Amino acid sequence: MKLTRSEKVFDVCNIVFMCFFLAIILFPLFNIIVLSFNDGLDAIKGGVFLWPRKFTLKNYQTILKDTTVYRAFAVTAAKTLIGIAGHLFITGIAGYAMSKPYLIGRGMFIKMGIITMYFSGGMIPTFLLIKALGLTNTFWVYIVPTLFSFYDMIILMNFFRNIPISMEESAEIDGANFFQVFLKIIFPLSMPVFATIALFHGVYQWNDFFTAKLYVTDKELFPIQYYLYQVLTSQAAASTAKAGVYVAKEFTTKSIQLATMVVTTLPIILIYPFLQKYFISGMLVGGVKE
Amino acid sequence: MKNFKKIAAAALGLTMLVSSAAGCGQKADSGELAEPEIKADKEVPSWKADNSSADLSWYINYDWFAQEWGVDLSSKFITEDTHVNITYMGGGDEKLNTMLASNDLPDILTIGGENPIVKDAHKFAYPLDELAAKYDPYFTEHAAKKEILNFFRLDDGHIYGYPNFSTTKADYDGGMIYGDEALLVRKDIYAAIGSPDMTTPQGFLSALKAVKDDGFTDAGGKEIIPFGMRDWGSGPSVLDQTLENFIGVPSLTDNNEYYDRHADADTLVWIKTIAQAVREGFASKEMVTMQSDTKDAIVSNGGYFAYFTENLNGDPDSLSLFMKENPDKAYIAVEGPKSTMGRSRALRGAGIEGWTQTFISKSCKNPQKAIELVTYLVSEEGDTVMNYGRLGETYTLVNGVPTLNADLLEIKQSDPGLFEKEYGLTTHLWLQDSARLSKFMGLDQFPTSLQQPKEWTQPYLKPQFELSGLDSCLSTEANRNNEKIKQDWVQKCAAMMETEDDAEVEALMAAHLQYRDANGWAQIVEEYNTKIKENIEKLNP
Repeated sequence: MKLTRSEKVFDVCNIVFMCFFLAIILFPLFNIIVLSFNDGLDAIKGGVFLWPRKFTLKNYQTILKDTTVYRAFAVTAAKTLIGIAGHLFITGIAGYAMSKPYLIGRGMFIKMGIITMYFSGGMIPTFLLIKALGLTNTFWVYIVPTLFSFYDMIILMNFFRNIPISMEESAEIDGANFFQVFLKIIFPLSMPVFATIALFHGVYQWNDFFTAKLYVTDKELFPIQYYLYQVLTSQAAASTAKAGVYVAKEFTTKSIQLATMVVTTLPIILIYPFLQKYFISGMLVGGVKE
Repeated sequence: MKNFKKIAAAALGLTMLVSSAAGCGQKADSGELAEPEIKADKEVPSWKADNSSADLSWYINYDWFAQEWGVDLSSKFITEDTHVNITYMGGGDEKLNTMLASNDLPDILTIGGENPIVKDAHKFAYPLDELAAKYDPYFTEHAAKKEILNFFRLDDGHIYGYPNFSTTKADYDGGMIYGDEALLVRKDIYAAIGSPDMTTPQGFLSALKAVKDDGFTDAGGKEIIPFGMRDWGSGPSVLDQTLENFIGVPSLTDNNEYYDRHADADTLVWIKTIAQAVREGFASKEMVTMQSDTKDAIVSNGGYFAYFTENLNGDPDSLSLFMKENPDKAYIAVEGPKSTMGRSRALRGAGIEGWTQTFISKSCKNPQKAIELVTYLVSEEGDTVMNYGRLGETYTLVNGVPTLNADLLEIKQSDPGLFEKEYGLTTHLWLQDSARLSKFMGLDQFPTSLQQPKEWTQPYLKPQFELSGLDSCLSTEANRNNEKIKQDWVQKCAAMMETEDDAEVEALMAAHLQYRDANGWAQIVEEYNTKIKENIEKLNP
């Protein structure tokens, strides 16, 4: 394919602009990585931009020798994986049921759900509910409240509706019940939408620290993001402490904070590209022709 | 279908009723306290006689708080002595509010003294004086400081919260209390320009001019900025109070009422001086918008000739770093701005209101053990164990002053993180008596870079106890106005740093005073005066 002159000019401009744009986005992230490899005290002097001035692995050593990090990682991994599985299953079967026009009370369920999208119970009533359910200070507080999302259910429901009814009917003729239809027909055909929701929910589960902040006091159950949150807010400690005696506590240096940030964010960045393919993969290839 | 709707609606209604009833049906105050397990004695703290043990939870209302109890030596000693094992918990205001709303509080609570919740302590905490009377009279008789008990007594006559880091008049009289405000200069440049007098506006400006003209450079070879101050946050850095403390603007009128410090003529003289310094290029153009990182970078490179700070404790790293690499150029405190009206300097020291307050909650499982623990930590004996450990084991007495063993001191200085984890001495802050600790440690508590400035502040300290908690006592309306006025003040101060001449500064100051009057200033002052009167009564019972 031969490009015309103006197309070539456009391409060059486009590439230059995009590179510039990308650099603006990448520089702060790159700078975080650079500073996390720089000596903490030396970094105070400023001027570290593209390469560490006093290279050190000490920041990472400090973080990784703290055993709570590993535990927090395990909690986060578990809550992300179990959370995704539970969320997809519960929201999925609800979406499947709601995609059927003959479901009794469907209109009312939809209205009830829509109301909750606009109005939530508020923090304190929700706290009371979670407490009454006995979920505080358990691992399940990360999972149970997020099993169902009405918003995600709408996305799934609309997707299911576009699956030709005849595919389900053919399975029913072969003797499949609703669960079998859902698991064997609907679920495989809806992989793209399930993958999308899995990714959304996975990112939510990975990033969520607020649940732990409100409902969990047991340090063994803290997820990695809450650990990061504590590290990042520790700088405030120095300024909260009022005049009096000089508090000889060690407050984390900025470099350690940034290294923690890298350690906690890296896994999800690594996983992202592998999930991307699900967004573009097609659906209904080789399905029934009508 | 219609029937189904009705049934569903009814079910929903019923659920709501039940759940709201459940919400209201929280247990009422536990009411009567259990009878004491041992015979309480005024002269002997109850923890010595009470051998029963308890597991208590202790909540610290700071998100960054992540310490654990029972890992370090200090907390192990405390548990050994008191038989109280603690589960530490941290969290922020959201968590505290939800816990308060759901009536599900930990046994012991530590909350920042400025938090408005502490005014409502009677709703969630036992009065410490009542608990003491019943279980542990040693607390009120000997352990707690009398001045603190008087000052923290609420209107109902009870004491709910006990502070940490509270410094009393008696502590000041005992000495070894240090201030936090100083004008620091690089000693090499100061000597090179002939150690000029910087106490008068003319002297101050001509010193900065001399630095500018001589073209000194910082550690990175950049041109020196003659004058800088700590970064501006929600207030105008040193311009807010520190400058006024330096030039000794009174904090009370002759008849013990609120003195309007910003409107003072001497304040204006010095603000004009600083504005002129900025105008003549002696300060960075970004001074007002500068972030703390940038300021730290400048200070750690020795980039300021004069650095005016209201919080020496707040950022010692940059000063220490510069001193380590340039020992002969390090920053020293000098006599900065002085009154043009002959008033004497009055630096603000630590206050009696302290930092946080610790409460024993009404949901406390074992109020007796809780007050025993509080008594222990507040008393000299427990405080010493917390800060120094066991005599002969972790510390010795040198001239009657506890001194940490050399090997521990070495770890404390070289690896404070490890020290906190393994030994934890001095790091359990929540009922710490900072004045006592400061007296024991003297200047050695500070990094070398802060020692000279800290020593310099000492003779000028004048406690402003009467002004304690002024802002947190304001009514809702006055508080809202006060926030607006403060915002206007910082904006006007920022504008003053960009003026063309003195007349403009005066006009901005006049505009601010006018803004105040139009926004309920009179009511704020009235409420201040009520609080000041209250404070004075509590301070002189």
